[in-house]
Amino acid sequence: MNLGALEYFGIALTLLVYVAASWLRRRTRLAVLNPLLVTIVVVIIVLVLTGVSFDDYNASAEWLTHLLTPVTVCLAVPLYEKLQLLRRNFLAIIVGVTTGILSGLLLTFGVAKLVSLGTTDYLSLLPRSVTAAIGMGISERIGGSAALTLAVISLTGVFGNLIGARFVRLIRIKDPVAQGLAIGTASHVGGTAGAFELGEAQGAMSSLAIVVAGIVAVVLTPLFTTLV
Amino acid sequence: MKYLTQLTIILVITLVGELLSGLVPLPVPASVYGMAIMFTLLATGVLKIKQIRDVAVLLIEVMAVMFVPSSVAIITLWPLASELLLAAGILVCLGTLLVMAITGHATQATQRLLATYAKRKTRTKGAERTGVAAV
Repeated sequence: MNLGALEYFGIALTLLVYVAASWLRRRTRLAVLNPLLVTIVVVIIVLVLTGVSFDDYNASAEWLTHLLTPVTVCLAVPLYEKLQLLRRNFLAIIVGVTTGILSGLLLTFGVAKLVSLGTTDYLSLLPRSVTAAIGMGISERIGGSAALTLAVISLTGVFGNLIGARFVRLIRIKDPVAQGLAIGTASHVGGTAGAFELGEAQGAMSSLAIVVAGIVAVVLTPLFTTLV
Repeated sequence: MKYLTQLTIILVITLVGELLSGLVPLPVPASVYGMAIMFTLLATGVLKIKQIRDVAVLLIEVMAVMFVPSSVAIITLWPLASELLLAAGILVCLGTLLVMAITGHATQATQRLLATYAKRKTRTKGAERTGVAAV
């Protein structure tokens, strides 16, 4: 019996591991047991052990990826509920997000130079912090590999989800608006899931940052495409 | 029917976003158009928040798990060239921390500047009693 041929193998496995990991984290209260990270690692191990190919897994699990677009649309809800916060902080939001995206692009450029990265790989890494849908669009447009971009974007989201809430407090970012913007700009939807753990305001600002950062990145990324 | 109606509204807005993304020659993805439409409908009162809230909150709650399949996809890119692996590793970790730190502190600094400016403005006008703290 080939498990990969089963229509519900991928999605059931993913949800089962995620629910179990979330339960484990609640029980143990261990921060390292980030449900998202645990799920990715366990799913990879299961695929390797059972010999199910990624394509077979994804034929089923891809359902979850398809939900990313409607869930991003739904982020308008927390944003709307925190409209006052957006109005009052408009200028700070624009300055914060633009500075953040710019520093990310500069670092990518610097690291690419440092390890003498190939042009396609460099271009694929540039939209790393932008939400999947926008980042892949940028990557394709500037000549990167969309598949590689999606993988680094996802991992950035996972990392932001893992450390975001603790890191912003550690480096003394105390204002809820600044906390949310920092997490959303650096780690898009993945981090936003973690920002909601800090509070509604942080979640809403993180949702907003996804959009603002996406738009800023669409404008700024093409300026960094020459690796010389 | 309540949940089905909510889901339908969300998916129809997503579809309109997809249509716009295909028709308008700008590199703006469907999700951003959809989010803008949703926000506009809510802000103008055409759509009431309770007409979509339950399903929207449910989707947002399970958002993290939607990243699993595309992250597992790294196994298809294996083995990666060592310089790419190094660059991606540095950027995913250090890059995320850097962008987070800079965005957060730039936001806080701007807020502080604006607050100081607003305070000075109220003072020069001699209207301290009515001065509202601008945060």
